[in-house]
Amino acid sequence: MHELLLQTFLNATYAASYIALVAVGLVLIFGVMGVINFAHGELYMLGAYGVVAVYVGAQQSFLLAVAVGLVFVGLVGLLMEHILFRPLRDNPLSGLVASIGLLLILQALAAIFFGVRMEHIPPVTQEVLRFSDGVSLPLQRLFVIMAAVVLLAGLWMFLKRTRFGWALRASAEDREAASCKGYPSPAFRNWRW
Amino acid sequence: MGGWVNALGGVKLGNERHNIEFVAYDNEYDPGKARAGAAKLIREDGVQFIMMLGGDTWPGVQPVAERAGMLVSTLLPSDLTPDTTRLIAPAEVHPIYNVTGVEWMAETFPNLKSAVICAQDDALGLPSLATYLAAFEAEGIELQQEPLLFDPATTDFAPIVTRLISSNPDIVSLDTCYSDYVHPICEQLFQQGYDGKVISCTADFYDQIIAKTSKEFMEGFIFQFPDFDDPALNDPRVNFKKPNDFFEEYNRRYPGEWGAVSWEYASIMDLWKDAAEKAGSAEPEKVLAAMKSGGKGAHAFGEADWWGKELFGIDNALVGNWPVVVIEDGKARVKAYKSIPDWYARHGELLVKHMEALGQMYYQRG
Repeated sequence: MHELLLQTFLNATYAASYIALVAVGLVLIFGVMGVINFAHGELYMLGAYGVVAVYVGAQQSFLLAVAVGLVFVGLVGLLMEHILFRPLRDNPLSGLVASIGLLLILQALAAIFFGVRMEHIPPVTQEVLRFSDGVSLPLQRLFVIMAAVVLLAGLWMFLKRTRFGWALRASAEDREAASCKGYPSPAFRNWRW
Repeated sequence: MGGWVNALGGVKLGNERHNIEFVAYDNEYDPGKARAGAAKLIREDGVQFIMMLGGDTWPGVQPVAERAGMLVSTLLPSDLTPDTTRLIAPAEVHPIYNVTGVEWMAETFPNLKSAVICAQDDALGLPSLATYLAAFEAEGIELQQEPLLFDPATTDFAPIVTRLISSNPDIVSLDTCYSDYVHPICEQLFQQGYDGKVISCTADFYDQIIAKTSKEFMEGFIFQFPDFDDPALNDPRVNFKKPNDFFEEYNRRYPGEWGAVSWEYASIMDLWKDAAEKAGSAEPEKVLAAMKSGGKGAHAFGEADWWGKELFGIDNALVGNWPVVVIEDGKARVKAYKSIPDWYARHGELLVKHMEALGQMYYQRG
């Protein structure tokens, strides 16, 4: 029984890690911009397809594929902010509707370019850490957990220790008061995407 | 396959030869679009026979097809009811053939005595679950825990696999899970160190599963759908024409796309062609009568019976032998052909019992 509990704990830690990363992005955009971005999940989907295109399609290294995926999603985020949410920033409901529309467009584009079937990504590593017969953690899952800890810690540091982070939090707490101090500036708006 | 038939002179109806023409309509698995598609195919294109996947789209097609007296084939016999007199399931009698894999496994590995099952909680998973429950019970294989029904939206299968193998079962049954589930479940079984037997209805793109696990892990994996380059398909009892050539041509046209049902429409068309030539007409009513005359038909995997009264309320499913396929050295190989009617004659009451328990009999479906 204790092995089942330990394995469940590891499974839950992994799931919590990647869900936390997704949730933090969603909350940041909602908190700072007041936009409920329904297309948030599709941004992660684009990142995943970026990895498929570079790692599986172009046969490049996995790390390069991840880097390309990150940059690609960042650029799409900037584009979304510029052409979609900025013109609608005074009307949160329009932003919400626009994000739903964008969600459908991105899903359709993914289906057109990659099809609707599951994509096959060869595992980067098949190493598994075995703690006992019934308790194990694949190395690739450990990487996800570690990445989540590092990224969330980095984000915490950023929000707590930097001027930009203060501005983000201030903007999330009281946008009008923050604007009296000069936020959000154009660079600030771009960064949060 | 249509090209092959036409190259050999097409379909001979009486003294005339006619080429076969296929008209495709993508209903996007939407009943409304399926209804519109059936109307277009019948009224505008003048088709004499409709082959479709079935399932959720059949209720859309049914009124249009019945009004026109159209003959329609489905890959999902759960569409059959006593009222669907013009609907036939001549290729795949899902999920009943799954009993053959369990029967062969029990004969070949009599030491395997405990099993667990997981399945997605939907119209494909539940009848298959009833079938595996009946097949395990028939072989005296004990189910270690209640079947684990997971939400079709599941993406992380680690918790499911952890639960499944926590009791160290001899057998893990993947039921009729879609390949989007079979792959990650196998990957998790591999990563969590499971070394027992795995049985599944399908193993589409199993080369990718091997890439995610290992050849050793997948050795002995049992499922139900052969690659058609298998030499066992050249058995004279098999009615599918030139299976090896068909497989080669399919892979040339659609590389990497071969799956469980890739051969089924071709096999149905073959059956229709033979019946139409026998009837001397392409009229649906005459073709159906010729197809079912004598109560037997030439199923792709051998001589079969028009069957199904007890399970579907109508004898419109063509049922005979079905292959048991095992992965050996990274390649799917037919290990045996087992008879579904023979199994049903011995254990039919178990299947009905489990189907009823899960609300899957024709008189229980909505």
